[in-house]
Amino acid sequence: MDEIEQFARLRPSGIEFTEEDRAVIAGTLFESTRPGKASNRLRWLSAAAAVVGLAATGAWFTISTESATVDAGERPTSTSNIDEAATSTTGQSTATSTPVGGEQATSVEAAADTFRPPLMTVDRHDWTLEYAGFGGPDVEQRSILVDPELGLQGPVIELMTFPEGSGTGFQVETPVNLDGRRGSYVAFGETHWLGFTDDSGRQVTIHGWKVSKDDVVDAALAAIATSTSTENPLQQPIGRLVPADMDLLSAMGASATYSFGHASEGGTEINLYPGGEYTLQAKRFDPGEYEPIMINDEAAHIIDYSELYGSEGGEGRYRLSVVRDFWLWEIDAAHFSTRAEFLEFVDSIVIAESDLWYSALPDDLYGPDDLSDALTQMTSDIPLPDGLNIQSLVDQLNNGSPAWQHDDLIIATTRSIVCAWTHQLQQADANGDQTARRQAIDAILSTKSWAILNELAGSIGWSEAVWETADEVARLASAEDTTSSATTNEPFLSDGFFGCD
Amino acid sequence: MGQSLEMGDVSAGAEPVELEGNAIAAVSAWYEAHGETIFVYVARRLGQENARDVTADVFRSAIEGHHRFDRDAGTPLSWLYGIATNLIRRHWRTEQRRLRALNRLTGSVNTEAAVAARQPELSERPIERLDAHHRVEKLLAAVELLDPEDRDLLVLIAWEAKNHTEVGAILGIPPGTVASRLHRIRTQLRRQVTDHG
Repeated sequence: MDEIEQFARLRPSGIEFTEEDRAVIAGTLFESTRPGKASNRLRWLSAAAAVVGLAATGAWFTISTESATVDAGERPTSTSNIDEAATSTTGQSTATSTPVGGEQATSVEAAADTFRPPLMTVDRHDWTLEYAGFGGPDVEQRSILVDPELGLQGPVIELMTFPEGSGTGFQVETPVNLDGRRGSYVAFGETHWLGFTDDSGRQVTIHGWKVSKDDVVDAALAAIATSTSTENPLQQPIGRLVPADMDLLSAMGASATYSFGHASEGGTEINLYPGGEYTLQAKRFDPGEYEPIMINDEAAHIIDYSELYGSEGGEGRYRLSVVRDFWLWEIDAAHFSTRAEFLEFVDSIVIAESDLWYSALPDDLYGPDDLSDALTQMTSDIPLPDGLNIQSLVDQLNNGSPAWQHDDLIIATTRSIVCAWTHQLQQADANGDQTARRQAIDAILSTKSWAILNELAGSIGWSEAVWETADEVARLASAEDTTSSATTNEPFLSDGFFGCD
Repeated sequence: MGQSLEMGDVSAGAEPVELEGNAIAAVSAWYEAHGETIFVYVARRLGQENARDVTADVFRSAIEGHHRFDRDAGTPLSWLYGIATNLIRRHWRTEQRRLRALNRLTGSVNTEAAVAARQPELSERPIERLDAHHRVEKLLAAVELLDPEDRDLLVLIAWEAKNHTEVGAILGIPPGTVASRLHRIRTQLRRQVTDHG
């Protein structure tokens, strides 16, 4: 992948052009420029209302995770849609001989709406954990139909909605007429993909497994037919298939990534995706690259980049995909001399019990038990606004990754604090509270002396970005002194830039 | 310069002026057809918090400069893209901050997983997955260093998925020039990503 492609993958997504956006812009442009503006605006509002079904929060099949309480590393507690046999934890390989799942760390209270994947480790002293992170839902909306007896082991139809402009990613596709709308279809073995763009510009992708092309097309037509209503297009059974429960929907949005570094130059990334064999098939867009192999007595697939691409970027690189329990393990590695050496390494990857995993964290990674002390030290010279304290910061972080790198912890912490002060500034501005306003401005200006931001300065751009905001606040404060007409309604203070909620 | 408005041609922030009704009618139709596309383009580069204002400025400029639109030189959408691109340049510092923020946000597993999940074929290539985060940092730093014109071209190709002819129409340059500049940009980015360890 060259640099242009890599930059393309960084395109920001999830941007919504709301009905309000459309109306506000139209109002500023056209209402004062010609007679008859009102009818023009009404026309836009009407057009916007026609597509609000898919765009509005709470519209059809938006996932609610209220009831998705699960144990660490386990499948969802509600298993009606998951084949019991597939969730057996009896060892299928030497790599799973360590108890699967394990107990939840006593110090980590999983949020009621969080599905926590297993914790992984490498049973070799020359490899060190460098990164561990859990991913959340990867689509805007998801709906799944399954056979209640077979769960993900049987026929499945999954409907996913991605933000506008995401694209289907299909390499080879066949046009499909969906009642006048163009769809793109592609099939690999028992896997069917169908994508189309809905009325609001978002990409809808339907994945069918062990079903027919007609079933997938029917699901697409159902989605289109209900796209302007609050009805879930897949809430009605189709044949034997019934809607999956919320636990499975929540679990299918989870993922985990672990990076391990070798004492020399090697590196490995382990990604865990829920859904087992179903997900493996869904990810195999180019099945020809996958070579079936056996690891001990366990079936797996390997992509041998060394063989496929040789000196053109493939040397020493391998990917192994193996289904274990509810999870698809995907192991990417670089700098291995031979395939055998890589497979030997794979054999050493195990799921760890949480107590063991946390106790073995390297010094430069912070686990849940380390956060309070680390944040106390990090924020010793930082003013915190009312409502934000060490414990609330810890709570925020514990809902994310299982462990934090030092730099990432600084970024997450300073982002939370700056966002809180920015929020106070905006609230004070709105309420005319000059004391709170001055306090917030002083706090933001003080960022330039925060030790952890100075520690990070010159390396990754984060500190500089914070300080540029401080400069803008300084300008604001200066204007306030001279004109008393300054406002915090400025783009640099708006929510979004720092990822403020 | 083809159909693109020069920097001095736009009137960002100016109050709407009285114009003949056909210009407003035409631009209002364009807004209905392309308002979302332009809004999303601006939001990708400057953030959603700036998108309303800049999008409004784009269409305001289109109304005021409607007589300069040359249908033979491109579509209304490419003309609007050109205006938006010129306006975005005025907000370079905002875009710079956004790139830096993006740099940090793309280091998260969420982004990598999301991209891999919806574009599985990309994840199957022998890409530099293991040092991807480090490469992203260097790549975004290199994009920051590009000339504004080159950065515009890169974004239109990579984020807006425009082909060379469309980019040429937007930027007012021949498609062949787009190709050669893209090659130069690719070379420059590769050198900076791989040379500065």
